[in-house]
Amino acid sequence: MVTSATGEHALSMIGAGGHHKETFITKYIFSTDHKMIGKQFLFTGMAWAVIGGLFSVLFRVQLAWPDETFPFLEQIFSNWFDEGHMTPEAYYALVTMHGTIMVFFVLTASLSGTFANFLIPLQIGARDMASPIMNALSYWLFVLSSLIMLASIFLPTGMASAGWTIYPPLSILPQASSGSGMGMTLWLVSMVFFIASQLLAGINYISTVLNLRTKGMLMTRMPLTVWALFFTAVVGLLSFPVLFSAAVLLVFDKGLGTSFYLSDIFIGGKALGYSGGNAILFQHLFWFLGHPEVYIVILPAMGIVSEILSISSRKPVFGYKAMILSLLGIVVLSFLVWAHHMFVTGMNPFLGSVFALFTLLIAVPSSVKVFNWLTTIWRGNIKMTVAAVFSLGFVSMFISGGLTGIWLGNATVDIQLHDTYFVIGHFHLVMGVAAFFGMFAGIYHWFPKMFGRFMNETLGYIHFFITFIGGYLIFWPMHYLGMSGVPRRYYDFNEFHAFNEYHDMNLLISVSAIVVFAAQFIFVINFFYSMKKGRKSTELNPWKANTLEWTTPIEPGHGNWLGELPTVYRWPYDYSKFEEGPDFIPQTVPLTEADIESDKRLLH
Amino acid sequence: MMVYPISEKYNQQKAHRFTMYLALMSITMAFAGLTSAYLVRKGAGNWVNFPMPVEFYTSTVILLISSATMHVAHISNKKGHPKMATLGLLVTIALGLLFAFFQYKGWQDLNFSGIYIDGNPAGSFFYVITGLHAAHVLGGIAFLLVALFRSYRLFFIKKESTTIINKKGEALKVRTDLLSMYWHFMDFLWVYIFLFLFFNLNH
Ligand code: HEM
Ligand SMILES: [Cu+2]
Repeated sequence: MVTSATGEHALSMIGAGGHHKETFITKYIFSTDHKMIGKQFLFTGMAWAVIGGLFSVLFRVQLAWPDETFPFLEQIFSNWFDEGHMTPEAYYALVTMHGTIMVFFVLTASLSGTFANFLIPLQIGARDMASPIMNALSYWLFVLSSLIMLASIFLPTGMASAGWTIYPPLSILPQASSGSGMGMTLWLVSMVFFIASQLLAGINYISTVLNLRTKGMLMTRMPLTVWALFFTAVVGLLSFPVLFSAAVLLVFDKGLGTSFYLSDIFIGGKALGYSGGNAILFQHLFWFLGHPEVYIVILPAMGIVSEILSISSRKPVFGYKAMILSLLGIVVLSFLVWAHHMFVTGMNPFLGSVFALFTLLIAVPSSVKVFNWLTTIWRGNIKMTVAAVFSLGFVSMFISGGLTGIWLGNATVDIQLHDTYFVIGHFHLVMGVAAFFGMFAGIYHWFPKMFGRFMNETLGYIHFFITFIGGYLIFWPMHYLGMSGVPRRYYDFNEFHAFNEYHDMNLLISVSAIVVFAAQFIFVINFFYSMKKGRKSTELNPWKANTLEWTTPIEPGHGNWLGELPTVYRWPYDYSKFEEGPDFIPQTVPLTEADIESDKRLLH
Repeated sequence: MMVYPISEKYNQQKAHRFTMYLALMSITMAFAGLTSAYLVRKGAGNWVNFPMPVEFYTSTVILLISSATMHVAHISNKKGHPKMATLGLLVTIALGLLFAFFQYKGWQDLNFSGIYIDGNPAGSFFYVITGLHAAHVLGGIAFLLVALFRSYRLFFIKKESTTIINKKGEALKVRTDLLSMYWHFMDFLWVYIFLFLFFNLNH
């Protein structure tokens, strides 16, 4: 390490590839380059999303055609079908793993993993993460965790089937469900590595943002993507350890016969050895993570969308500071609302009203953000790029799903709606589809930076419209089902007279789900085709954006900038029709006298 | 290896320390989760109290002393006394192992007096919380062993190759700095757990 080599010497070395010789393995597999790790998270996440999506199609097929037989599905998934029918055990297992995969593996690990890795160093002007090794380790722990979860899918006794929230006693007692044997054990082992991976990653993101910003990159000049990813990491750092503790106690109950969560239980008239435990305790611990977790999923998408809406409407983000403060408000409040998932546990009504109050309060910062997105695009000259339409789609989904959150936040209303399809509709719009839209927007937008090529726009629009309309067709009707009392996690509604009349609605939902799932392959094909054959990116700054990642070479090497790190002089949202010159001023352009005088652009 | 200007290198080191603070914060949250679960469960009744095993008093003193020896190792390293630093690390590891041994004795003692891990949750919580802490201490010892090995190896580098000594010495300084943060924190965490359990078991 030649620490004295500043100036010329260092620069020439960086320019010449900048680092020791790389083999295929060090470059593409065991890479410590944050950009490569980001892409690895993206690829792994795409694989998981396909599996998670496929699972949902399978159980929607069951709900739409409970009486039909599907011999061809039985041939592929022989474990889960019996005489052409999906078994009830398989149904629960598929629902459970769909939730686990989507919430944790795709929208937590891959969404944050992709964009925090790829964008944080590039947008704050750093060569890499604070600890590139820890960063690589976090990815490989994620792979390990993924492999274990994947293995559980092939167990003859079935995968975990107690729901993604793994409530005891269902998750502890193998007598309760065959998936609660080995399947649940592997789920827990996998999650331990997952949590370790998330903590390593999150610690690294926070440390990088706070310590490695380039000269002039004040916190108040950071792009909102970085702010959002930073807060996401903070939430994860404070909440995942509690899930770890909850899981440790669950493991002890499962393996060593302790009674943290289980009380006197009789099976077939025989008492099990448990006594004195408290199943509600698990729910408290789980939702202390679980609620912040939903914000871990949505915050990165919020950051991405804020950035893209500003760029594509060629206007400064409206209320930059309000955006940051509302993120902060969400972070704080998200730790104070967890028991709104537990209104029906017989909690003290006074306590319930406190949680209801905080829950409704969280709507305030959420609405501030929505308001600011709308005012950002208001009277803007919006360029409808694919990334922009997905961002607008995000806002639409977030509003639709957020409003129903306010219903659910009222304890009295929730007691009716809890565990019905209303809740499913709520969180899929506000979190599921919205977060996916944020992710798609980010991928379409930063694809040229990732792979030096553009994705096909036509395919992008087709992908968008099918997913957008299909998304609403799937999740909107669910609200009506829920209001009529149709419960979630039921395997066959034809068994119940009361629910027979909703069959057509279920059919509509299932058909839409199949179409939307199929449409995602348009994206996958577009993605891989464009990676190899897409239109080449020839300009440094194709979207005419202000942030630092567009000042690197088109395909930056390890270390990102060829010469010295860029210096930042201004906030990232100087988009406007200026008296002269282009309609944007990158962060690296020094302030003019006029700027300093008016102080306007600097301190928004 | 990339060659960065000095100032960038310095930032990296500052980041390491900060990173350790964050790691400690997440450990804090895990134990905060456990102790609040303890309180919630205790509040629900059906709770069988028992006295703190006497070995835990001894182990507490041992861990406190080990914090002091860790400090000696850290300071000696900073001031460039490799022999003293190595000795400090060695003693700290020994004390850490002794701590783990007394914890083990304490659990054994409890088991003899009929408090089993799968019995009343008062006992289960006790084993799980103290056990998880002990696991963290053992993890720290593993890293201390690596530091000890590195520190010992410094003796054998030829006197004339000062650049190598300096470089390795620098890396070791960062390492012991981080380790001593971790170790003091384990000490502090233990005192918290000890007092928490002590007062809960006696009231
Ligand atoms: C205006 C803000 C929001 C309010 C007031 C709100 C309120 C609620 C309430 C009370 C429930 C519990 C319903 C029940 O189980 O009976 C719930 C469920 C849920 N919410 Fe929200 N929510 C809001 C926004 C969000 C956001 C932004 C996300 C994710 C990004 C989200 C994700 C979820 C999820 C995943 C569940 C269901 C978890 C499950 O039971 O499996 N919510 N919400
Ligand atoms: Cu919630």
